[in-house]
Formats: sequence, structure tokens, C-alpha cells
Amino acid sequence: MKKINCDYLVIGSGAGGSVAFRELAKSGKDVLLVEEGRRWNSSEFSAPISELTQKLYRGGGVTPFIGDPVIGFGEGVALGGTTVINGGLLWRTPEWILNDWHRNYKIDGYGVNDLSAYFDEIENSLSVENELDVNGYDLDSKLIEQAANNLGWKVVSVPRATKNCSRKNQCGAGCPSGAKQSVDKTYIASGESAGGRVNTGIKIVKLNKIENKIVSVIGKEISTGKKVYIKPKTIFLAAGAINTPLLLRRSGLSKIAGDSLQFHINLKVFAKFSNTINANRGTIFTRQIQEFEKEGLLIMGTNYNPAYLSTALAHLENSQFNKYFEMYENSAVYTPMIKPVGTAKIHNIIGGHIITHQLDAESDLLMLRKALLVTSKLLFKAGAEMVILPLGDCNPVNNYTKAKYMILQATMSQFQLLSVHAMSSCAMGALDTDICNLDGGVRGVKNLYICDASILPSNIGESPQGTIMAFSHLIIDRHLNKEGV
Amino acid sequence: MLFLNKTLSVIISAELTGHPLISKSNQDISVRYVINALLLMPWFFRYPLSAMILSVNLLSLILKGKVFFKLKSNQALSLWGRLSAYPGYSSLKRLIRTFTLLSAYSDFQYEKN
Repeated sequence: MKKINCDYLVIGSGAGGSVAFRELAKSGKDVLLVEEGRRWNSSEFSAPISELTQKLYRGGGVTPFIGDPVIGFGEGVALGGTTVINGGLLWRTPEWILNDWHRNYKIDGYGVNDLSAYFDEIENSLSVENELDVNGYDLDSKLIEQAANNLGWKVVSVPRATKNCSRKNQCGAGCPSGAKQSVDKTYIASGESAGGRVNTGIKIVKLNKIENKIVSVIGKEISTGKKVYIKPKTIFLAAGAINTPLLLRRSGLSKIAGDSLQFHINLKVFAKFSNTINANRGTIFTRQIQEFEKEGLLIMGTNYNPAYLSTALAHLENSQFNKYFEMYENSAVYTPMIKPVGTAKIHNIIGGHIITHQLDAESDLLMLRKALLVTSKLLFKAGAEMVILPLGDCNPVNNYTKAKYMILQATMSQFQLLSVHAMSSCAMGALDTDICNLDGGVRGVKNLYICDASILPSNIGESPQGTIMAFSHLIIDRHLNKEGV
Repeated sequence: MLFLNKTLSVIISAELTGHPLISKSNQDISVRYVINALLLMPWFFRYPLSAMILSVNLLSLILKGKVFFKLKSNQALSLWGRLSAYPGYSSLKRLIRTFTLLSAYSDFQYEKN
């Protein structure tokens, strides 16, 4: 058995864990970061996308949320966590959401002014840029921007953590050009330079508590299966919205962690235009339609290349698939993203876990229908000649009236759904019944803090990376201030 | 495993019928990819899904008098199409098809580049 001592242990290296690691290392602490996945170099992301998907995603890309319908969920397993495989969107938490959390969940000290300096720091560290369209690229996004303007809908440029994006169009399987500023290249690299240690390929399986303190942590080396015994003084848990609650439960630290997991739902809508779009020369999410943001609906253009297009058309019969695949240069794929009312629940079972979801049969179905109605309206306004909706047994449609008829007939089971954002499974709150207090501390345990997506009070409705990182900054600062650093 | 491999080869071949861009080598890679995807799943998904894939042979034996992977390609295509209209098998088809297309077109794109 391998034994490691450290003052601070950070479990998980995604958006939240990387901030904890860097800030602790920079303040001179003896900090160890452990990550289940491995370290990747940009040059390795030139492999086939399918191969990368199996290696970079938990469960080889198969983490289903079981329910009606089954929702495919994706979560990164690599040094840098999901930031290695996301679109690099870096939003500041909208003021109205922070106000809502303050009003409804009594989250004090997380207002716009409290977080502003952290967002400046994050944007600077990740080289965030939001003006990407140069030399005629990103026509797919520009088309919906023009249509939104014509409809009088709110549309914005998207801030992304990229440096000189070269539009390789495969953000979801790692950035082969190295343009995406994922946290492994930024925060974790800085933390290592400041003296922090990183151990990859170790999965933490249990936290051992004696009285009100975690005294040791048990891990397992992925490659050898050997046990690793870590003795930290303080632990920052950032294993993600699914694994953080699982670890709390397996360690007997909470019975309710993971009972209410919140998530976003993505749909993929294919659109064929009369002109050449060359969507493969534009990158992901450069424009976002925010007209319906407060209702929980956003619309963006998404990555476009043969592999991703094939999955967007997978529900079509082969003859139709080929017909539309041939229109490659005139087509693009768009993603409406919704914030459902329904939640998911994590269940521990022998040898693993399963996740079930319960979408609301009325309000979530209405929202899914609205997402497709609004997206269809936008795409036909943008000049689309034909749209393929992500509904099973549904033919392509060539006008909004037909699309509307199909969408209003659609049942919940017909929707082809995906999710990449999970959160709020160990939500922080001011009540004694909440798993975490407002400093990220796990109630009933003196030296255990959570600083990942699981502590967000409720579903944020947009890409949560910026919010997770800002919350993590604040939690670490509060901790260091208490320690007198 | 051999039965699973043979059965999946026929299913994947059926899923990729009429895809002019996809070569035989792309198909073989897709078979390996789907098997690997199954192996990466936790046991409570892997075993039921594998059992469902293998059960196609039993149904084929009852309906056609031959195991699935020994049927002629048009017979296999037609039987897989009929089976995948039923609950359970439709989800299995969706899963296999998505992985098959992702793998085949990803490999196609890789070769093209």
C-alpha cells in the first residue's frame, strides 16, 4: 500500500478543484491534487473523435440518466476534468441568479460585488475572449444572430476560454490546437509551478472519519488496482456533481447527498440552408440567443464535423441519413439548452451507481416543446430550407407550420436528449439540514470542504464553469483568512 | 465473447448498409468500438445489454431456423429492423447505432484528414 502525507488534499481537478489547488499552492501550503483521469497533451487530441470520447469521458461516454426518455450524460475524466471536453464558455453568474439564491436560499456573501474580483482573475488566467468571428468564419452563428436581430430577440457574443481559436471544431473531444485554456494548462500548471503536487490515475473511494474529523483517505490506483492511503489535515472535495455525493455517501457522511441532482438538457437541431455555410469552419457557441434566458432556454450553434453530425442524424433511417449528410457544406447543427424543473437521483448499488431522472410531465414537456418551437422559428427566419428535429419517428420539415404541428404532437419519449451540466447535488445553504454551509464546509465534519458544481444552490441555467470557479475562489479565500494566511 | 462479436458484426453491418463513405475497415473498427463501449460500462448495464444482443440469435433461431449471424445479410437486416421496433430493442438499436455512426464517421474523418 502506498502512503502519502500532506497538509491539504484536493480531490478532483476540474473547474473547482483546480482553483483550490492553485490558490493553496500559491499561499505556500503543502497541497496534493489527486485526479482519477490522466494528463493529456494537446497533440494527443488529433486521434479519432470516437477513440477520444471513450478515453476522455466517464464510462467511455455512457452515463445514462434512466427515465422517460433516457438522457445521455457526459462528464470528463482527465486532469482538468470537464474543462478539457467542454466548449470553454466562461460566463459571469448573472446578477438575477445571485439575487435569487440570496432571496430563496439565504446565500449571503455571494453577490456580484463579492465575486467580481474573482471573475476578473479567472478571465485573466483563462485568457477569455468573446470576439471570435474573423475572416468570414462562424457563418452558422452569424445567421442566427441576424435572425434574432430581425425577430427583436436578445443575442450576445459568447465569452470563451480560448487563445487564438483555430476552429478545429472538436471542443467536445479535447482541443488539438491547444487554443482552449482548460484548467490543466492554466490553474493546475500555475499550482504546480508554485510547488503543489499532482497525482493522476488515483480514484478516491472512501473518506475515514473519526469523531468529527476526516483522518485518512483511501484511494485506488487505476492502473494497478493497488490501494493508496492518504493522510491529509484538510480536504477540499471537488469530484463533480455525481462523484462528490457518492463519496460522501460511501463514507457515511451524508444520507441525502445526490438525492436531488439538477442538470441541463441539450437538444440537437439540424438545419439545411440554400447557401454554403461551411459550419465546420466556425467554432462552437460563438453567439447565444438569450431572449428566453429567464425561462431557462438558450440557443447556440454547436461543433460541426462528420462524427458529430452523424450522431445528430442517428435517429434517421440510412437513406435519409445519407441524403442529409451529403448536404454537409450547406448545413449546421444548433443546440437549444433548457433548465428542467425535474431532477435526477443518484443510487448506490453494488459495484457502482445508477442515476434516475424524473422530468416533470407537464412543465418540462412544455419547455422542451418551446425549445424546439423557438429554435425552428429562428432557423426558418435565418433562411433554413429544412430542419430536422431531435424527435424519434419524425420526418424533416421545410416550414415553421409543419415543424410546429410535429412539435406540439411530440410526447416526452420521442425527445432525443443529452446533458453535460450537472450540479446542486450537495447544495450549500444556511439551514442545518443543508449538506454544506456557506463556507463550503460539510456539516458535521471539521476539515472537509466542497468546492465544485455540487454546491451550487440551484440549477443555474447556463454553462456553470465560471460560477464554479468563482465560488471555489471565494471558499478558499475564506478558509485561508480563517487560517490567518 | 465470440458470439457477441459475431452478432454485433452483423448488427453493425446492417446499421451501416447504404453508407457509401464507410469502408469495411471503418466497419470493423466500429465493431471493436461498440464492444469496448460495452466493456467500459458497469456490470448492471453490460450484462443486460449483452444478453439482449445475444438474444437476437435465439429469436432468429425461432423465427428463421438459423442463428442471427448465419443469416444472409438481407435476412439479417430485415430481422434486425423488425426487432428494433419493439420496446427495449429500440433503445438498444439507438445506443448501438449512435456508437456505430460516431465511430465509423470519426474514423472516416480521421482518414480524410
